[in-house]
Order: sequence, then C-alpha cells, then structure tokens
Amino acid sequence: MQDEQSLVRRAQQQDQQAFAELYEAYFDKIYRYIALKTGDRTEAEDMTQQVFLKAMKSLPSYKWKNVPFSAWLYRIAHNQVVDHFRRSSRQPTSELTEAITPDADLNDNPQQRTELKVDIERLIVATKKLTPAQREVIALRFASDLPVAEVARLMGRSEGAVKALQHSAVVALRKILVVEEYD
Amino acid sequence: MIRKNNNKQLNDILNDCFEKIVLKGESVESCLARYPQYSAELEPLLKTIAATQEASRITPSAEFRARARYQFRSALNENMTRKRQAAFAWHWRWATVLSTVGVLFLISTGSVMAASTTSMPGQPLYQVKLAMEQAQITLTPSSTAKARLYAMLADRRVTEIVYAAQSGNAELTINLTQQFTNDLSMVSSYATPARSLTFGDGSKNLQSPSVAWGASAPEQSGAAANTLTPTTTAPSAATPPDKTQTVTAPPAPTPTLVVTSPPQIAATQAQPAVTAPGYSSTISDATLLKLLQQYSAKNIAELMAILDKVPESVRAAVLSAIEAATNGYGQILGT
Repeated sequence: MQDEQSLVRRAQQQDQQAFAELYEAYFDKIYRYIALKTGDRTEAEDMTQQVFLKAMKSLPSYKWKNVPFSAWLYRIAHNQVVDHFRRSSRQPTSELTEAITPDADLNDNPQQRTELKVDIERLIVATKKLTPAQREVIALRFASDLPVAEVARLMGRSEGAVKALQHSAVVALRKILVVEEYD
Repeated sequence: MIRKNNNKQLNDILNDCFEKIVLKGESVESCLARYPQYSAELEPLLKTIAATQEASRITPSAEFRARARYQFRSALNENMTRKRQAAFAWHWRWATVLSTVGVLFLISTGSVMAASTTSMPGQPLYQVKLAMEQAQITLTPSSTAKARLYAMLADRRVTEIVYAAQSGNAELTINLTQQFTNDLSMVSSYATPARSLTFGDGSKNLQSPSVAWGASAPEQSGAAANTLTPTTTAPSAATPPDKTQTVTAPPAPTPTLVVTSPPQIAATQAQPAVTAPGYSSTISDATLLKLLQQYSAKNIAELMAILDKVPESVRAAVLSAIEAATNGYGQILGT
C-alpha cells in the first residue's frame, strides 16, 4: 500500500482507486474488531459495511494532523458498535449466533481449523465475561495495529491506564479460559 | 509504592512483549528470555496472549468479502457521481449567471443583433431582431446611413415574407409586406434630397440648406421644420411617415438626371452625380443606389420564384408583395 497519508489525501480528492486501497487495507481488521466486540458474524458483517460507508461520507472532513486515519476508522467502528447496541437495547451476545470463519491461511489443515474454531468460540465467550473496558482494549489490541498511544487516545485514557487495563484483561482472560478448560 | 512501581513495570514489560508477539511475530520464549526475572509471572500471560492472537485471526467469509466489496464500490461510484453532479450544478449556476451577463454584454455590443438577424417571425430571437433594428435606427446619426439601413431592413422583410409565405401564413405575409413598404418609404424619405421639391417653395428650403440636403432633416424637428409646412416634419425612426406624406421625387425626364441641388450650395455641398444606366433616381448616395438596385432585382426575383410554390391561400399575399416590391423599388430607383 502506498503511503497512507498520500492515499487518504487522494481519496479525499475523489480518487476512487485510493479509497479502494484503503478499504482493502482495513476491511479485515475492522471486521475482526467488530466481530470480537459483538461475537456475531451477521452483525459484524452489517456493521463493517456501515463503517466504510460512513467513512466514505465523512472522509472529506477528516484531517490527518489531528488523528491517524486508522485511529479515525476505529473510532467510527467503535461508535457503530455502541450505536448498534444502544438501538437494539442489548449488550453483545454471549454466544456465537453464527460461527465466525477463522483466518483463511489456517484453513488448509482441517484439524487445525477445528481446533482454532473452538478457540474462537471460547475466546468470544470469554471476552463477554470481561468488563466493557477490558473487552475494548482486547478488541483494539488484537484486531488493530494501533500503538498503545492511539488506543489510549481512542479510549480516552492515559497510556499507563491502557497498559494496566491490558494487563488486567489478559489476566482475566487467562482465568476464564483456564476455568473453561477444566470445566 | 514498591508494589505500584512493580505493577507499572510489569505493565510495561507485558505491553512490550505483547507488541513483539502480536505485531512483530516473536515467540513467547524469546520474550521470556528478554525478561528472565519476570518469566514466572509473564509465561502464562504471554501464552494467553499468543493463544488469543491465534483465536482472534477472524476473517470475513469470501462470499461476504465479495458482496461487501461490490456494494462498497457501487456506493463509491454513486457518491462520486453525486459529487460530480453537485459540482456540475454549481458550475451550471455560475455558467447561467455568466451567460446572462454575457448576453447582456453581447446585446450592448450588437453581437446578439448579428445572431438574431437570421431569425424569422415566431422564432425566439425575432423580437430581439426587431428591437435591435429599432435601436440601430435610433443610433444611426446621418440620413444617408439611415437610408441604407432602411434599405437593408426592407431586404430583410422580403426574406421574412418568403419565409411566411412558404409557411402558408397569409396574414403574416401581408403584415410583413406592409412593413416592407414602410421601410422602402423610409429609404425614400431619408435618401431623396429632392424631397424638398414637394415643399413647393424652393426659396424657403434654400434658406435652410441643411434641411434641403437632408443631412439632418429627418432628425430636425420642432419649429424650424414645422414652420415650413406640416409635411416637413421629419419622420421619426419609430413612426414611419404616412405614405401620403412621403416625399418622392418625380422621375427625371432623362435617365441621366441625377441630383437636384440648390445652386447656391452646389459648389460646396454638391454630392457626386450618380448615373445609373436605365435608372433615373434622385438618390445622391451611389452606394445606396447600387444597394437598392441589387436588392430590387434579388427580392422581386425571390418573390416571383415562390409564387407557384406557396399554398394557394397565400398566393394573393405574395402577389401583393411582388407588386409592393416592384412599385416601391421602382419609385425609389426611378425605373
């Protein structure tokens, strides 16, 4: 991908190819972030599409100097998820309503795929047991390439607070997964 | 305090290892080797991070990816098109404003008149054409120029008569013929210096050479002209003179008779004599005379040419137009 700042500038000038490159670069990551937060494939698909449509409409007003494009995109995704659950008056599902497909790179080995699928399901179930802030930091840290500073900015916290939250989230996940494993 | 510092240190170390494992693909073991003093605490956490990273490699299905890509591209195209249309609409609004200004400018410079000269009755620019003709008449300073202008307008009327007749519009043909006749009368009024002959009193005219020569006679209005005779009132551009009042020099007895000019001013203001074979005109303007000869031949021929081609309903009107052209040009040219 070309220099992202240049791509964004071109996309802002109605360059379809530039916007298409940005879309391809972030599509999977945004989907992963939303899937981790919602645990539902259909909802993740719908919301991922909405995120990019909103980004397309809002891009002209985006200013690079304020926030990196990736952080801006994840902010849209975050708001999309929040709005979605606010409208539906419910919290993210604690069970996978539809199975989420594992990474295509790992699909060659059926055995590995089955194991990973279980892991995905377990991870999704486990994240539902985290606090919203822990779930957010896990989703952002595992789905995006954002540095901790940008995650901190997105979450409205200090870097130290995000590191502490990340630590507590990993500890909590560990406990949940180990308990489930023994169950 | 020590515990708080330890926690902060562990947070930093865990974050460092997190980024090395998740973002840079390092192994758990290499991170543990970097921080051996924390390996007991770090190991289960780093294994959880590694396992979570594996599990979180969630990708959209190929079907959804293709469908989403198609829908996004469609939305992108639609968005671009809408923006282009909006931009075009914006440009179009400015283009309209600029066009309006341009039209006004063109009107002021006479370019629209040029554009409208070919318009015919009933067409959008025809009224512009008539308005510009009137403006042109008003702005034309000299009688000579006005005479030439009316000759040209009469020629235009014949073109319109042909158009109206071919369209089968008898009423319009008649109206245009009337306008044509009026235009020829105006040619005669402005171009014939011998018009003073009808004043009946040459001496009075000689007292006012400028009136007698017609150079400023049509523009002259008011007491001086009116004191001579009511018929001396200069024809205004807007109101063609009544044909009964039109001053027409009688045909000269010989074909070579040209201009009747007052002897007192002949030495200084005599116009060049115009000799036109076969014509006995009182017109002193050679250019106008030549123009009228050309128009006469052309217009009568054009009217004659359409006589058998037009609908029966307008044939009488065309015949009247032919008669008007023959008589009108004939009187002016003295044929």
